[in-house]
Amino acid sequence: MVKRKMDCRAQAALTDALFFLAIVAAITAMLFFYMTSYGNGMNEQLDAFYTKDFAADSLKVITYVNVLRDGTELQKHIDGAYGGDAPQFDYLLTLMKEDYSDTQEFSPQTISAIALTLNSVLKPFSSVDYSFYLLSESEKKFLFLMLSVHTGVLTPDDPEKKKYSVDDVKRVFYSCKPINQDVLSKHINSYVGQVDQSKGKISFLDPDVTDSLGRPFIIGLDVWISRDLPVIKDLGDQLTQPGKDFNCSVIMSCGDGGECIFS
Amino acid sequence: MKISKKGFIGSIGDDLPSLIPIVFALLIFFSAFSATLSVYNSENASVSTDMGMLAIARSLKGDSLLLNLSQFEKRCDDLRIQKYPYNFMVAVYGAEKDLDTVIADFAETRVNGDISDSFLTGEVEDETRSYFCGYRKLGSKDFGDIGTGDKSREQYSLRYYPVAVQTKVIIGTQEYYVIIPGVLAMIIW
Repeated sequence: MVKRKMDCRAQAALTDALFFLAIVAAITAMLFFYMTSYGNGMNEQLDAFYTKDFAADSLKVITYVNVLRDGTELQKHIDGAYGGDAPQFDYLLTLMKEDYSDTQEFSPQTISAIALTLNSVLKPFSSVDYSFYLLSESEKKFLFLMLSVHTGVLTPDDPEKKKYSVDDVKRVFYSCKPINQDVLSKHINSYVGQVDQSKGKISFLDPDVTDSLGRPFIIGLDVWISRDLPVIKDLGDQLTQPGKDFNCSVIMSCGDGGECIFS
Repeated sequence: MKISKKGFIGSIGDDLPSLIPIVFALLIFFSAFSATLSVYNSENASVSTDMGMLAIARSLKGDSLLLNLSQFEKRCDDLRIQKYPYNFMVAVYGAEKDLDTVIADFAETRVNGDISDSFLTGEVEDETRSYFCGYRKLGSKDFGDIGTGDKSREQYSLRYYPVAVQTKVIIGTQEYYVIIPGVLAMIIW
């Protein structure tokens, strides 16, 4: 009995050490896993805060800024392109309210002013596409929808590896009159990945509504990272889906240099 | 005695093979532990910097409307009396400005000295100044002095926020005060 104990003592110690090594290896693996994932959730949360702030700030700025009542560009006036004529400034929201009160839709000048405002507010953030809309709360339909998306021509660099370069990139502004309320969620928001939304409530006076509070609308801005999607290419085509659903027309297109041409 | 000596090398020699895995295990455990601790600390610092950035930007832009330069400078002064564990610079650009030069603009700007002329300007008591707010910890360097190497410049965060700014524009011979879109750029290092 004594002999066996003496023979096995060193081997038992070695086995204990190997067990210890195995346990430490498992703990180390857990530490590595913890190390690589630590902070990811917090960073995602912070990014979400930032993008929410970004969308909300953009919407606020759109409602604060002054525009020219005739829908022309302020920069062109400053550059003297209109010969120093005295321009008339107003808030964009004022133009929208006036138009709605008169005809329940926006005039071409107001639509131009909206497109120019959206372009200048979000111009520095050139990698995003967005939609700006006014949605009637009671009638469940769009009063106004503007989409701003990138378009370009794909040229194959290496067709075998499916590598393409995009030429002639333009930002195109569409003014749309969709029939259904769900066009954005159905054709755009579900395909473009993460969409940062900012919404607010606004009331427009309507001669048909006797209530002094006016008709309530949801004013919203949806922003997403620009992506090449078939739906976006078909926006201008009103004969096929989804162009039919959107019922859009091109308002303005802006090139890389920032110069914009009205259609 | 003969039998017992068969497997017995000595009190140290007997345990030596088992000491190797134990030492190895302890080595890898403490290496992993110190690496985890360092990642934990750096992530915490980065999260706290990002949260600070959000808080500073929210204080400076307020409701995303800057009515004049003195309002912006007052907000900046209120921020600067606090002590932060990092340095920052905030500037406002006109929306027509190309943001590709932002890093270079901040690099040539000194928190307590020269300010890049790319930033939007405003007037306070007939003096034209830039929409700029900077804070630097005691003993730390300006952003432009932290080196141009890849690693040193990796230690900063840059964010943009849309803002509306009331500013003076001249059309023909007439002066107008209009609210135009702008971009609040913020760098923290």
